[in-house]
Amino acid sequence: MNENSTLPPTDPAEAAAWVEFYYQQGWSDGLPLVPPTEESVRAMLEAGQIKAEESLGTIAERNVTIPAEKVAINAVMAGCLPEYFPVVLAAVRGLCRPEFHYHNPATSTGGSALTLIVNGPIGPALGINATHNAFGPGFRPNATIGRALRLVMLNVLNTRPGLLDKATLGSPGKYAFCFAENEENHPWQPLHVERGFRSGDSTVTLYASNTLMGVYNQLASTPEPLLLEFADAVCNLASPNVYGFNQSLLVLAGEHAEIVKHSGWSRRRVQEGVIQQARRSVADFKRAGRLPGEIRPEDETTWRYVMRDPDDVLIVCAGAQGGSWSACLPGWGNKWTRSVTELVRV
Amino acid sequence: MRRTVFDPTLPLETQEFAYAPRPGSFQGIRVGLVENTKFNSKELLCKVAERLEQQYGIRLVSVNRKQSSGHTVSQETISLFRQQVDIVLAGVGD
Repeated sequence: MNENSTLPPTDPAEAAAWVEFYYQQGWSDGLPLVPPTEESVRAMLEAGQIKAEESLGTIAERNVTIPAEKVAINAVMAGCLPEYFPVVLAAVRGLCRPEFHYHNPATSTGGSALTLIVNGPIGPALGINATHNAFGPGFRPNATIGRALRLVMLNVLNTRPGLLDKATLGSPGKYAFCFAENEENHPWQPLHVERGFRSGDSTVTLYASNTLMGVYNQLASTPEPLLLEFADAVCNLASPNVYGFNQSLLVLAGEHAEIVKHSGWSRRRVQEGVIQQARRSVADFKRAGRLPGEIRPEDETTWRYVMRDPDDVLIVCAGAQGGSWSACLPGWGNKWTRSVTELVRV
Repeated sequence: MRRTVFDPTLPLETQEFAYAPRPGSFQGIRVGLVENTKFNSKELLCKVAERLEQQYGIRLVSVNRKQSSGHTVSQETISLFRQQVDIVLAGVGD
């Protein structure tokens, strides 16, 4: 046993019985829940500086207005510490923003994982992982903040599999997907500053990602080969992205971030480089059955671009310093959901 | 010992609704279409309307294209439909 830990005063069997009781109510995402108490729910609300009855927003298509108390209960159940709650609140406010258009990515057969990107001083303050295994397990704030959002979706917004979540396969990221941007050793300004916030602000960006593709390159020493790979990942024929002109998230990690930093390339130059190469011919679409009709000779040289606006290429840095891996997370396949960035009110 | 269970769910808000009176006949009635933007949605609906025109003499007077399949029909469109049409056809294409 860790010498800093003390045994709780209650019998583990009693705690296990409560966990089982919460399972039986159908409130779980499949993993054990922390049974809330009056004290733990109150502590959440106090940390969020919010009253229980206060509304965080409305989602018209679901006919639901979200009260803070329900979010607090779900955050406790997810395993959040009270100090995480301002991030959870910001994420839930983001869900309610009209431009995020929750109903589309949350309901679709596409089964998007809602990705939370935390920026600003609250990331390091809470210990939100931005480095080794940034998308993986082992870090309480990453796991529980992301999980709290999913529990709110399940329990408050009824986004239950087969009911209002019609995902064909879903995604492991739907359990929890939260990481902080690695703002140190960054080629440019971090995402929240790029989006008009101050560097001292803390924010959470909510993005509906459709899948996660590793982008590997061990030999590149300049940005060009990396851009080619990112573009290829964005415009693969199986991606719904190729139709929607929506956003794509690129996560620059490890040596790739170093290469871009040392190249001196601006964010805009990288974004434009991806846009220009993320294209497929009409003939490719027709061969794949993504467009109807016979293939005509001119189809081989008629291009369809995946994105129109360089700002639709979202680029963040995360991950360990070592390694030749980055990631591409194409957006959920419809242009009607836009990523949103919310201020964390602390 | 008093134990409190915290319910993380919201009760479903239900609303009373009633179906509009059904027309006794399709002959000459005015029809509006709600197209949900999905692939083939418009083609499918227009084909249905065309057949209804041929077989029952309906009149297609309005086609509304939603912002996306996940958006609700706007209040403006609903008001317009109330003035202009007797029935509305909606469907999902994909």
